[in-house]
Amino acid sequence: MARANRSMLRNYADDLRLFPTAAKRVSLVALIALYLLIPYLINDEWASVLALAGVVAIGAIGLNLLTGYTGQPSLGMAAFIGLGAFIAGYYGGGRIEDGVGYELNVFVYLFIALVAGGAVGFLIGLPALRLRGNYLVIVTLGLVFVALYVWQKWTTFTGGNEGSPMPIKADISLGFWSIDFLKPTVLGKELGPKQGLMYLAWGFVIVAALLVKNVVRTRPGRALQAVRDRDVAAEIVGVSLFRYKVSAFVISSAIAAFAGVLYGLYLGYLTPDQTSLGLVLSIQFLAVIVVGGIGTIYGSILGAVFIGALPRLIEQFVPDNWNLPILGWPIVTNDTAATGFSKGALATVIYALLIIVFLVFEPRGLAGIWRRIQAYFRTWPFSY
Amino acid sequence: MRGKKLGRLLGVLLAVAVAVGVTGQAALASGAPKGKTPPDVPGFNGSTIKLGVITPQSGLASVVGKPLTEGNRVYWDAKNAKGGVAGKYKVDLEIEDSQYQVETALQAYDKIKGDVVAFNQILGTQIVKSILPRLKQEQLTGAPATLDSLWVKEKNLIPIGAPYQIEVANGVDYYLKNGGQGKKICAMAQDDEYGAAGLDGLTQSSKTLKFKVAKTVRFATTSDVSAQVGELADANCDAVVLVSLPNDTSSIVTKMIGRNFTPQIIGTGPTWLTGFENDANNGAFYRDHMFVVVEGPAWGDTSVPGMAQMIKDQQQYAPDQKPDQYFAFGYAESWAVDQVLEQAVKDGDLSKAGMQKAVKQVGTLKFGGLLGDYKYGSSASQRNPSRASTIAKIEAGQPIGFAIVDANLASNAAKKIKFKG
Repeated sequence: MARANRSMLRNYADDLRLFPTAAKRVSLVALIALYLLIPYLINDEWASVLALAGVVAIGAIGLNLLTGYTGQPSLGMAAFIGLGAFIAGYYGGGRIEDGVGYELNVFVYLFIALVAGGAVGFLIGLPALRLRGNYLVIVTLGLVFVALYVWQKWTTFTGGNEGSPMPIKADISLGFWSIDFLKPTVLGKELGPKQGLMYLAWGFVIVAALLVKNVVRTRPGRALQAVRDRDVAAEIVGVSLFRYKVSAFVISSAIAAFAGVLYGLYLGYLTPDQTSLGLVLSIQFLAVIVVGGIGTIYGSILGAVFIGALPRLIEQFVPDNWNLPILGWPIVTNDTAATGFSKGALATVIYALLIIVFLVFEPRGLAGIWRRIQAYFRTWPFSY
Repeated sequence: MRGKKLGRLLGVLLAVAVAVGVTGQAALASGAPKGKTPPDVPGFNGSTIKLGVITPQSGLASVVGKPLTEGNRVYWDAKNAKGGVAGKYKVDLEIEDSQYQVETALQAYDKIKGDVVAFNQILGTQIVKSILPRLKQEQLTGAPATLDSLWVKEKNLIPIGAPYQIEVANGVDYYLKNGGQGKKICAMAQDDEYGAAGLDGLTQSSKTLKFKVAKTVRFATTSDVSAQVGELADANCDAVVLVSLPNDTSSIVTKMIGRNFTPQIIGTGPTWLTGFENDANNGAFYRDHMFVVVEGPAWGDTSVPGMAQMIKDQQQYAPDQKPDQYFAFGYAESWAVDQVLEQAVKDGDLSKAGMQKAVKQVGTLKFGGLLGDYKYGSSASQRNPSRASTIAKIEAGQPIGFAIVDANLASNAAKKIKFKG
């Protein structure tokens, strides 16, 4: 008797497999190899880009759980990122010179951020039980402004308007084995802080992705999606709205605060102002999941890498003075007085256009495009 | 046979030793360091020195970043035309658009840090704060394009200009000596580092000048300021020390006019934007009730050597450039970096360590009166910025929108200002 195709689902256990096909397992091995080899392939600049993309990917995974899987729109990301970042400053030794705070290891205050983020997420989750849609957006929007005010006034914790440095101490020693993430040695090569932070961030991307994947592919995940699709109906069939809505807020906020610690370490210094921790930061996270794909884990990662790398890709591949072919319109110019965008402005324009284009033409984002490509090759040479 | 070979070898060694000794003595006799050619290092290829610039070239802050960078460029174009640093090394600027965003600025820094000798301009307080730990870690040197007092004692930075504290101290001193004695002085400052620096200057000078600050209000930039203006009006303030950026200055003054509240405004340099003096709604208020505290001579005052040099270079290399205080600051910034580079070339070392050493040896940075002299000394703790400011009254028809009423005012209060670090 012929064996069933590996991609055929015959029971619940088949459905739960993370890497069901040989192709997916090979991809996993290739990704691990890439993770280990990447410092040999890229320079400091790209390590810096990838480190930030990793940090954003972690936050976006958490946001996708809340917004994509549970249907709870949130503009409150900046508040949780700020919470995590200032935890990094306070517990990482950034305020020691002012006589406050602690000098703990990064892994200790990452845990503190998880707990603190989860606790604040619980409090925010409570009003979400009574609100949905635009009303919930307004509540989370308010959170950004309240948080900003708190950061500015809570000088012991944040340094007030002067802000706080965020030094990093990221070594682990278990007696028989030790590693310093500021200068890790990978495959015999000693790396610098950028690569170290990149490793740290992407290691946590994997952990966050697996954690959230496990939540969404099991019973709680189905409950969350039922809440997203029709919360009243979900409650009628026995899904506890309190439990699942609040849980989604708790997990998402904990992950966001966790990402905030890494964001603070990446920046090295943070002041509580609109530019750093305002609404724009929250919108950027939303843009990442819109472009990457709402309701998918790898969409969050694709979106973070794509949005994070876009300015550098433009910097590298677009000429300093570039006119639109045929029409000859000036698009990029080096001359500050002439018509045309600088490369930085062009990146912002493309970024804004992408949000519009994806929302209108491909609401499932890059992940949707990737799925269609997969489906095309899976059914090839047949078109359906 | 063996002895012959050994003898020949000894002979060669002796000849080499004599040659080395002779040339070494000759080098010493001619003063070797003077004639030293700096070896190639990242950012220097034996003929061209590369300097980094991280500045907003797009977005709202580009109104500051563009003229600043233009000032940087014009200085180096003029210097290169004369042969360059030490008359032989041309300078090339590597300009990166930060979009005034910390993340973008950090990536720009990582992109060019290995290709430059130093940074000629890093714009934005938060951006400098984020880049500073990396400069320290990588032993690099950079010039911040802000007047925060935080940079005064940082050995990896090359600050210029009098910090905001000095501006406020001199402004208040001028007010008190010109009819302000016994009047109610209040303050309105934006709720960030810049505002805090201005208030620090006010607190320190109030002790020296023995006056009491009647009321202090803070505001978030670009927010509604009705409540804060109302508080100042209710407190019957005669003068308000204003620490804001131009977009907020405009809305604050509009609210003051709306309440018929007309105190004397003592503005720090960044409160002002050329063109305000002709504003249809607020222009008369600015002209009648405001003076700003800046640094350096009036634009076009060629009796000051530094200004004469800048105007000459601007006319040759940027003839379309309109009078702009940020252009002048950018020009002075390159001038400061040039003095450090000259010292490094003299030492024969353009490496990161060489630049740090040159900063310690440069002594006092001088700008021919374009900005006040800045004493550097042999360590960062000895640094002492200029204590002088220029008091300028708003007047239509002037190049930048104001006329100087007191140049080079270095009050006792400003001299007593202390900086952290």
